[in-house]
Amino acid sequence: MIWHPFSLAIVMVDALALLFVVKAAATSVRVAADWSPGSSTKQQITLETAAETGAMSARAAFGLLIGSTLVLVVAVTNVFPGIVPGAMCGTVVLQATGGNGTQAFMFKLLCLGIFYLWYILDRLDRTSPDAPLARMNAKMLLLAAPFAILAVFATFNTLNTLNSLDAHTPVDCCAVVYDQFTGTRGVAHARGPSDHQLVWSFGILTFLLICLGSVGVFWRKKRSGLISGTAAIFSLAWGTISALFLVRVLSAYTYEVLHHHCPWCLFLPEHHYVGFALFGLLGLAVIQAPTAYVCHWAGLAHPGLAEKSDRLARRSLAAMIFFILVFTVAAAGPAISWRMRYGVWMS
Amino acid sequence: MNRSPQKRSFRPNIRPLPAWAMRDLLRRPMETFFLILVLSLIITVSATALLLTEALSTTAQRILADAPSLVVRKVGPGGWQPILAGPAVSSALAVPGVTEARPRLWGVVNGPDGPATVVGADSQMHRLASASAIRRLPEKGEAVAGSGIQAESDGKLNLIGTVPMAFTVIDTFSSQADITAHDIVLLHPDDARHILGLPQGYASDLAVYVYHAEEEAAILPDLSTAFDAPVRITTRSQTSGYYSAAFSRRGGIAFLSIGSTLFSMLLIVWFVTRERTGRRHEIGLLKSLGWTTGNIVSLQLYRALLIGLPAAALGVLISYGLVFAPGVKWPGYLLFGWETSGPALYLDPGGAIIILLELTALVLLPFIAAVLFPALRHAAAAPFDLIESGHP
Repeated sequence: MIWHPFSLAIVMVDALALLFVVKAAATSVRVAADWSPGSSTKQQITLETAAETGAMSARAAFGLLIGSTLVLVVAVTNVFPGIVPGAMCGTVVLQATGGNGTQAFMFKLLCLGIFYLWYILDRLDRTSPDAPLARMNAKMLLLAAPFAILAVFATFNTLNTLNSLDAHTPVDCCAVVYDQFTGTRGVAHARGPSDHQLVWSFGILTFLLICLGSVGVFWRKKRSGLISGTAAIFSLAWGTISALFLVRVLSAYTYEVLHHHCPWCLFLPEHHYVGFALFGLLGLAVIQAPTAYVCHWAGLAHPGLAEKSDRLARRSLAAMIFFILVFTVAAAGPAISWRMRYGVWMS
Repeated sequence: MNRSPQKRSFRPNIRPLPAWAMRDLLRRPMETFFLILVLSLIITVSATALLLTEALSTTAQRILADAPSLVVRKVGPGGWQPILAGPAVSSALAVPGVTEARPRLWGVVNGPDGPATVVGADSQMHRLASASAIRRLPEKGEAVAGSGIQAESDGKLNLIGTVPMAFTVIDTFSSQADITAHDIVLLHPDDARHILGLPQGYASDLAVYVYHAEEEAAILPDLSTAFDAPVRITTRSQTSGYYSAAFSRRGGIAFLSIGSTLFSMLLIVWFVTRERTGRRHEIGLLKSLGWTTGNIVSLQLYRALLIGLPAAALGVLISYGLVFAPGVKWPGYLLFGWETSGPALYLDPGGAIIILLELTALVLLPFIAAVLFPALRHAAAAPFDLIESGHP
């Protein structure tokens, strides 16, 4: 089995990320167990310095994990279709990995989500000299570490499977996308909610989130926990609905073909790599409301940080509104352009 | 003394840490120079292997873009067999979606220096003739040869197929077509049929064309049942995938074979950088002057970037020249065993980005991590301990 150079590159970035994760986790164990704020013992001072370098390791790991996730997306969408028989995009590549690829992405995204929350809390923690969130941040890093290990393991299995493939076996790529339909009736009605339901759900959830975000940003801070908590729940639902809406309804205007419900084709050069921007915006929009809630929660647990955490929570809600609007404009742009050119919707 | 804004002298906005890192590197210019040199060499070696395989893959894709959508070959118990051209064309054209079906004449014979691929020049070959810059298609007794086929001094080419035959070489394919035409001998169809032992009315295989690339796989079931005899059908995407996989795996082999050298060179770089970051008393002095742990680590990071980025740029530039400069032979000879100049290669922007990502991941990031790891360890130590350790 000879590995593709891009596989070697992914393994290298993952290995480096894992190295920094392990270093950060090792420090986090000590911080979670022995941290005593306010103490001036040599042990505490040593631990504070170790926590500082542990946080730097975690930031390096976070950066490397973002890099390795991006590189994996590039590999699945633009590199491996060349070596997986019959593959034209990431759909067949993921199918060929026998579930490992999907697992790798799930673990990586989960890990990135936790690391992002940790990163925000770490920034909040740095605003106070006695680092009141140090123990909580250490626990969060310890929570992220197993997912990071699982993500690296699943990625390795994915690459191992792909590099052991027989390049001569024919597979029909688009058949995988169309397999979900049975007969011509099924083509018009894919499994799950209908296109109309998706449009309405997306519209309602987007409106609700913008309202909630605006209230959280401009209104009194007494209800900010309720607002950010509700927004966090809605944003998770919005993320799912938006992904479905993008793939099932809006992507048709990018592909200029009906019923090609493939998310991975959006990452191809013939579609100007729009998938990177659209799914990136989607991810950034989804994580903002949970960030606001975590900040609010940190402010409640440590009153000394209340003002700063409130400011950060408001900023996160504002960022959520911004990313939702940019995503909506970017995703719906081709559809509106189509409507203006031809006077009809594709349905 | 207050100065008016108009009289204030221009001062560039230089961030202190990168400037400090640069000054620190310039304090030991030879050490910095050799570090950049070694890192450039590592990047040149890896980038040459990766660029060459990526460029080969891209070039193959470009050539295959003009290949038939599907190739149909009749198979029997002994392997592939000649196909009866007329009925095969009718059967293929009866399949919905097929826009054109063309019988092809080709096969392998013995040439003067080893195997040669004989191709019968039918009327459709005029496009190939113009693309390969040959003056005209061969008549009976004539041949057009690729650069890998050496004719006798009198211009005669002796080939041995089912019968031995001699041809007059009237032209050669341009070097631009070497990647496909290196070992090809283009003959008149009657000559090709004669030397390959194909009866009149038979062809080697059938080239089938469809309008959309997506139809290639879709018509496979219909096409495979359209013929009387068993056939093996290869789609363009399968062929393209095969070449892509073959070239990229060659790249993998090349990268792994030079991996041990790279690893040892990387170890040298790591040792040198560790040595530098290991000057613990300097770190101790900086910390006692009020530098934070973050400042110390950032300084090391800037130092690594100031060495790594120019080295990467230099390495990529050299390797680009080695792969794409006309007339350079040795990378192709070392990696693929080509004895003559390699064919003209292409690299698309997507391929270039992939190479840059691979180099960043395989060389640059490990280098930066090699600097960062010891820096994190040393930066966490107490200033007094660091100063003491530097003065035994």
